[in-house]
Amino acid sequence: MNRFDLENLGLGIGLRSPHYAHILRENPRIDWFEALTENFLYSDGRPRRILEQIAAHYPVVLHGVSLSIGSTDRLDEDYLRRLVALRDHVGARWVSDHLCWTGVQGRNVHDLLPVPYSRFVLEHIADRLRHVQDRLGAPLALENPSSYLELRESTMSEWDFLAELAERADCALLLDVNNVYVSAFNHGFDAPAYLEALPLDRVVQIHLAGHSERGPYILDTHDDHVKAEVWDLYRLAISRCGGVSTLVEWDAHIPPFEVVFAEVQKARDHGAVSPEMSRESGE
Amino acid sequence: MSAGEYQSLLEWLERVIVDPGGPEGALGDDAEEVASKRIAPRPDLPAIERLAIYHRMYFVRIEDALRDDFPATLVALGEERFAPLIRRYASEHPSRHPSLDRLGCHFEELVADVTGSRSSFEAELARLEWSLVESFHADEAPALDPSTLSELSPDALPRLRFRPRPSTHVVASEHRLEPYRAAVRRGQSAERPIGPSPSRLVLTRLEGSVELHELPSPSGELLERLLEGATLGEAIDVVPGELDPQTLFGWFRDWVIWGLFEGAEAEG
Repeated sequence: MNRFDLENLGLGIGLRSPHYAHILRENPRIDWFEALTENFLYSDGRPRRILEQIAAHYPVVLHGVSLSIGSTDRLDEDYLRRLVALRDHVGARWVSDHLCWTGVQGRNVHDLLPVPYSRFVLEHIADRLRHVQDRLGAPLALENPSSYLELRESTMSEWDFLAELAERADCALLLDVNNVYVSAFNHGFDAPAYLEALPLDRVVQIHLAGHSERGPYILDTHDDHVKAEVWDLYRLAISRCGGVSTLVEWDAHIPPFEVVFAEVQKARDHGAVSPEMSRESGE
Repeated sequence: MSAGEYQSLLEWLERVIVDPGGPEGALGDDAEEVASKRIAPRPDLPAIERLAIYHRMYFVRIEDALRDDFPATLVALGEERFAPLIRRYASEHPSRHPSLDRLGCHFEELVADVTGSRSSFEAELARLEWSLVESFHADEAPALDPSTLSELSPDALPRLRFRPRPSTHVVASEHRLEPYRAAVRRGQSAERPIGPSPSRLVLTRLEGSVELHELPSPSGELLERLLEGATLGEAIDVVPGELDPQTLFGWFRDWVIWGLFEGAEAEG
């Protein structure tokens, strides 16, 4: 068990609109769903009603992309109010977002842009994380990003930055194993060493996804099966973390539900620990 | 690194990524040299190319969002006129909302500009398609109970003021838009109207689906005034001549069944 006592939900899937009808009709035997926060935060239409129905039958976690924790803009208090209300409304087990910034001076690029890993930025983000967690009344799970550039202003490695940030802000971590692999390739660092450096007792969730090789770099496309190298890294993560909620994200060229379902079930062959086993072992 | 230096770095990165001309356009002739001062390069992936990855992904996201929200406008404009609008739109109306669902709120203005008129067929289509997006995402509210009206005394009717449900919108246009939009939605060849033919549509969301209804004249004008906040007594002036009570009752019966109103209160 992680230090926040957040339960191992088992094997889950990112909730995507092409699967809504299948889920409501078939009640598939998936352990849990992760909903993209911004798809439901500002809409009170059909998607919101569907999320309510799904949350009545399955554990749900909210995963955001617009918190913009690394920005210099003021934190969006309206966003935080809506986030708390949505979390409470659907009974989400926890809330996550990314170590990144998404815009500045009120504009939103809608991308997970990298921050420089420096002392100043570490303090800046730690302050903001504490504020967000005060509003949530709970730890936020911060996800390591995939990235395509490194800023010269960085004075620390990403893993050292993330490890110290998590300690300073006392936040949880969402470990995206695919992101570690993508960034390791793009920047030439050692992916297993990244994992080893993180405070793994703070990891409450793991992400898996497919990516695309583009010659000199890898793009985090979420449009394919999880690659063998990423499964290797997942085995290492699980061997260190024990039973952790594991989820497959599939965001482009989304196949039928059964394909994504089968993909996440592969985690069992790579060491995933079921919630029952977690409880029995007292993790 | 100071707060000012950090702010300046974020602003620089954002400017380079969203520049319609790409990082080369944003940074000029010595772009790689300038970029390398901020971005760590690698022999097989120069700093400028690393920035270009983000630049390309940015415009893919903007394009996907606009194509999703304005499918009929895209067909009416044609690919050759729609594609250049994407970069111009992103420049003139960058997203200021946490959700990409709100990106297209000014798209009608741009289409009106390139087609020369707010009442061009394409601009009116963009207005209709954006109203559909707004209706789809609007706050939920229960529809007016039909018995509310029947319980009112006849002399209270002129003082009635109606509250529209948040998903209710009226789209008045110089062209008939819905046959064209519906054909595009079905994947059929869409016939552009030959000339202007004034039309008024009302849309609202019921059980998750946005429904559209054509409003003939003069009921459309009356409904539009009611939705703008006029009392029934004030709005009725737009109907020429004597209005048969049975006709008025029939209009209201339809509007209530369609779920256009959330409530109605008699003033005074």
